[in-house]
Amino acid sequence: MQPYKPEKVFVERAVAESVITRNVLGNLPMAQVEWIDEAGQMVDKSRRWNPSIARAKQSLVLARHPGRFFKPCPAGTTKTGRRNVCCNYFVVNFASNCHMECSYCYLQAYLNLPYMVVHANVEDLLDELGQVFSSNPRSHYRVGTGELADSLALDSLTGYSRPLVEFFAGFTNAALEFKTKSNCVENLLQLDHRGRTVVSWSINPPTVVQAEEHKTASFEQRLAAAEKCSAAGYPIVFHFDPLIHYPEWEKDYRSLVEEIFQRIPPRSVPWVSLGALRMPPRLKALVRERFPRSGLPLGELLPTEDGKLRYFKPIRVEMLSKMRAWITAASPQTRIYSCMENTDVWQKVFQSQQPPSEVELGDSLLQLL
Amino acid sequence: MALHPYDPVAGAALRNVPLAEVDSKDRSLALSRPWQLRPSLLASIASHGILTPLRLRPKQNGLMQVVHGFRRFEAARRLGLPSIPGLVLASRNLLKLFLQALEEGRTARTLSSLENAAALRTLKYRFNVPEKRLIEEFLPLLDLKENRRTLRLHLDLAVLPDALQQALERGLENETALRLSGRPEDFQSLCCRLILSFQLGKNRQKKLVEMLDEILAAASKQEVQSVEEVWRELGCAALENRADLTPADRWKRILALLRQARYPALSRHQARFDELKAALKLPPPVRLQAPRYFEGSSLEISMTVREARQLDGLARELKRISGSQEWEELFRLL
Ligand code: SF4
Repeated sequence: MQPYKPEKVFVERAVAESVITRNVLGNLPMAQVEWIDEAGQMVDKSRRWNPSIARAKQSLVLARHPGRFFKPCPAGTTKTGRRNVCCNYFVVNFASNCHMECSYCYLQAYLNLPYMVVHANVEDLLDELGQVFSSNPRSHYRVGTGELADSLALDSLTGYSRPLVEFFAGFTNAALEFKTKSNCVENLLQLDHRGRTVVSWSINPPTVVQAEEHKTASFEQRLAAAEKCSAAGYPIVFHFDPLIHYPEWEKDYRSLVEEIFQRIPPRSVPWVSLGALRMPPRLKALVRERFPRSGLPLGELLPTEDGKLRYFKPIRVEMLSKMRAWITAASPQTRIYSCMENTDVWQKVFQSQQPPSEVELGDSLLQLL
Repeated sequence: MALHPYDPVAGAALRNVPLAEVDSKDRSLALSRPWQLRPSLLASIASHGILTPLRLRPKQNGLMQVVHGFRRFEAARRLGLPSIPGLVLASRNLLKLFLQALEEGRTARTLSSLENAAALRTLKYRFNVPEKRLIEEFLPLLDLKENRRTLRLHLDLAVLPDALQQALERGLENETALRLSGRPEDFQSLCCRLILSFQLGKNRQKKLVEMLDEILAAASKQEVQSVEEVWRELGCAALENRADLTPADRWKRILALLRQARYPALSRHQARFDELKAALKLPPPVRLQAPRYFEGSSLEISMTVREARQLDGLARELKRISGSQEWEELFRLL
C-alpha cells in the first residue's frame, strides 16, 4: 500500500487532548500543523472541490465528530425504497475519505472531499457504543468501521485500532469488523482481542488489484497481512466484492479462492461475502472521466430496480454461483452470504426459497465467532 | 465625413469608413462567429447596402475596432465593399461600449446560446466581471437561469471548437456538445453527423454518445482502430447509406447494432426470448413481456378483450400452450 503522508494536519482544538491526536502528531513530526476552532465549516466549504484535481487529500483533518457515531448500515435500504437482502450490520464513522484510489470507489461520488478527516474523539465513540451494547444486552451487534473510510489504512498514524479492539474484547453481544484493502495490521498483533474483532479484506485477483485498485496493498501484501492476523488468533473474513467480470474472470477468481484457503486456515474464516460490481450511473460517468483506462464502465452494466447499475442478471448469477461453489469446495465450514443483491438473485445463487431475515443472518454470522 | 446631421450617441460621429481602416482580426467583442452570417443578410446587403451603421472605436494602432455589427462587417468583407457606414465612438470606456452593444443586440432579437456564451465569456475574461455579478445581473438579463451551473455551461460553450458550435446551431444539445468536446475529432464528427442527420433529441443524443464512446473504448483495448473503421465493422456504415429504408428505420437498425455490440449477453438473451415468444404463437390480443433487462422473476401477460366469449377462447388457448417447452425455457430466462 502506498502509505499516507499528509503535508499538513489541521487539528480542531476540541480534540487537542485526544489520544488519537497525540498519536498522529507524534507520528508526523515533519508535518505542518494548524490549530483550528471548527473543522465543520472548512470541510463543508471544500465540497465544491473538483475530484479530478490530482493534488488532493494532502491534508489530514483531526476533528471532533459532533453527532452520533453509531448507525445501521445504509446498504439494505435503497434509494427507491426497495430493500436488498441485508446482514444487520452497524457502522461507526470514525473517519471520512480514503487516500487510496480504487476506480470504482463510491466515495469519489459520495464524499467529494479534498481532505482526509479522522474523528479523533474516540472517547465519545466508545461511550456511545458502551451505552448501546449494555442497554440492549440481548441484542447482537456486528459493527464495522469501513463505510466512509478504509478501517486500517491510517492506523499506523492514528492508532485507532487499539482502543476499539480492547473495548470490543469486553462485550459478548458485539463484534467489531475492520474492513481494509491495506496491510496495516502491525498495531493489531499484540492486542488482547478475545475473538471479538474480525479483520476483513476486500479482495480481488492481482490483475484487478493492479488495474483498478490504485495505491492499495497488493494481493500478496493483503494475504500476508491476513496470515499474520490469523496467526494472532483473529477471525479473518474476505469480501469478494466487487466481483469484476472480464474474459479471464473464472480462472483468476478460482485460483484466488484456492490460494486464500491454502494460506489461511479455513477454520479462521467464519464467513465471507460476495457482491458483484454495482454503481450509481453518475459514478460510472465519473469513472470514465477519472480513470479512462479502466475497463469497469465498459462491462455489461444495466440499471436495476434500486437505481444502481449492475451486471446483466445472468452474468452476476453465474459469477456469484460459481464463487459460492469454489469457496464451499475450499472451505465447507465457511458461511457465505451476499449483501447488496435482491431476493431474486439471492434465491438463484443460494437455491433457497426465501433469504433469511437480516436479524437471522446477522445473528447467525455472529454466532460463528 | 458625417452622413447624418445628428449624432445619436454623445461624442460619436457617423462616418463612411474604408474597410481597410477596420481591424478585421480584432473580434474580441464579437458575439457571433464569421460562419454565423445568414445568407439573407448577405443578400440584403448585396442589394441595398448596409442600412444601419456599425459601431466602431478608434484603436491606438490607427485602425478601427468593431464594437457592434460583426455580421454586417463580415458581409461587407465578403462582398468586397470599399467602405462601411460606422458610428465612431469617442468613449474610452470599452466595457460601457460593449454593454451598449449587448443591450442593442439583445433587445433587437433573441440571442442564441452561443451569443449568450460569448457575451458572458467576454464579460468574465475581458472585463473581469466577478462571477457573482455575472450570475445575479447578467444571467437574468440574458433570460438564463440564475445559477453557477448555467454560467459554467455557457463559459464552456463559448470555447467549443467551430465544428461543434456549428452543430449546436443545427440541433446538437449543449450537454452533448460539451461531452464531445474532449473527445477526438473523428469521434466528434461521427456523432454530429448521426445526431444531425437523424435529428436525434436530447436523450437519444446522450445515449448514442455514451454507447459509441464505450464501444470504441472497448475496441481500442484490443487494437487501435479508427472510429470510422469500427463504425464500418459494426455494419452501421452500410445501414447509414441504405436509400431503401426510411431514416426512422435506418436509425432503429443502427441502434439495434450498437446495442448488440455494447450489450452482447443482453442482446442474445433478448433474441432468444423473442424466438421463444414467436414459437408460442400467442393469439394476437395477448401480449407477453419480460421484466426490464430481465431484472425480476415474473413474466407479464396482458390481453385486450371485447366480450366474455373472446376471453373464454383466449383462456382456453393459453391453457393449451401453457405446458409447452417454450414456456419452461422462457421462465428459465428470468
Ligand atoms: S480502499 Fe475502499 S475506501 Fe479506499 S478507495 Fe478503495 S474502495 Fe474506496
